[in-house]
Amino acid sequence: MKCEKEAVLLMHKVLDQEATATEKLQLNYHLKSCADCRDYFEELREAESFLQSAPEVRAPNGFTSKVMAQLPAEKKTVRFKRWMKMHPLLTAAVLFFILMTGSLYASWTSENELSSLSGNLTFDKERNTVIVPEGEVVRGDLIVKNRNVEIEGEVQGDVVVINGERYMASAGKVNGKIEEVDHIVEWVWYQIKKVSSDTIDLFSSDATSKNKVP
Amino acid sequence: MDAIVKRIIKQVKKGDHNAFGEIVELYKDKVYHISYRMLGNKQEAEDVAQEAFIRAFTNIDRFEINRKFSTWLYRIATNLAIDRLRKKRPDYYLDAEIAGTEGLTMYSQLAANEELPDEKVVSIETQQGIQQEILNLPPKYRSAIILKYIQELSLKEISEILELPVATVKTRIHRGREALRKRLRNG
Ligand SMILES: [Zn+2]
Repeated sequence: MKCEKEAVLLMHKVLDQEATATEKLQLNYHLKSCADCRDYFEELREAESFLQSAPEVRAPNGFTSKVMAQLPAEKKTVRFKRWMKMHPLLTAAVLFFILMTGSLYASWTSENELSSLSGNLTFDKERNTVIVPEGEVVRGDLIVKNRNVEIEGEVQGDVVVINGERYMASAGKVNGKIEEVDHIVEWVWYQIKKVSSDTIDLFSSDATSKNKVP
Repeated sequence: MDAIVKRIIKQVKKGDHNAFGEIVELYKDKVYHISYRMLGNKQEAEDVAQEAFIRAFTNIDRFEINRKFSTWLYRIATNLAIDRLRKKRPDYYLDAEIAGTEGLTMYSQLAANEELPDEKVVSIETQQGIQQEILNLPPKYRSAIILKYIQELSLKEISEILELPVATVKTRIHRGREALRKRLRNG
């Protein structure tokens, strides 16, 4: 091709949509009189439309979950804030109980006190487990934090196990809902610190009888 | 769209996995598409696309919230794909600069002689044909061509993704177009 450089540069400029009106006219004018450049330009445009005809490609199935599975572990506080957003009612309920019990039992500072205090409940230190003994009835809700709970007796309200495990004996009975919560620890911790500088290990709350079992 | 993405990214910056899941959903097809066109292999494309998202997540602190997220994400994906190509076959892609011929690659020299090493008969009608032609481009033209024609991005955006001046991007697109023109004519 004779008129290579200048004409080809102009062609690319037109294809890039950066040519001025004058330059476009200039190219058109040249193409009318030069068959070589006409072909050349046509080929470039074909190359373009060839590329543009490439079909969409979609990510394979399961792509997102594969990515998510490889992400580094999420910070507890984040999980926990999201959990609070997703469970506003339970969050409010737990907050309420903590505030209530926080003021009621702020003096529980050790595990010994804890076991003696909860006459109706027993505490197995070795297994770090709070036990509702057989024949005992807890009226209201039972919230246990950082401990496991074993229910041989009866809980008439809900059982909330925060950061612990729950065991149900075959004779055990819970009338309300059972919630096992792992995410809430830090928030609970924060609330506890606000309410009291003491460490509170176990909460058991009963609105009607203040946790006294008949 | 940008405002939505910005809001989600703020969540991601706080470490929220679920928010990042939304980002992956939004961009997975585009990122996969770039990787696939760059590499021409589904498995490798998936690896690279996943890696791109994981890097985006772990480096999210470095992302400036007022910039365009897709630009940043596509840059990560493009760089990973180019790295992958380099590791795979360092000299297969005929991309080496020859001493003393600034900017001229072996590819363009071969192209000038109209003797391309690839003897395969390429059917330009098929999808494989398009992919094959894209793969025949040296990676540095290939990335520019993919971003321009497959992703339909502006020259300015491409220059930001590739971290190159707009003029260089233009040159690469021109060369890519020229290489493709020659091949299509001979095919
Ligand atoms: Zn001419």
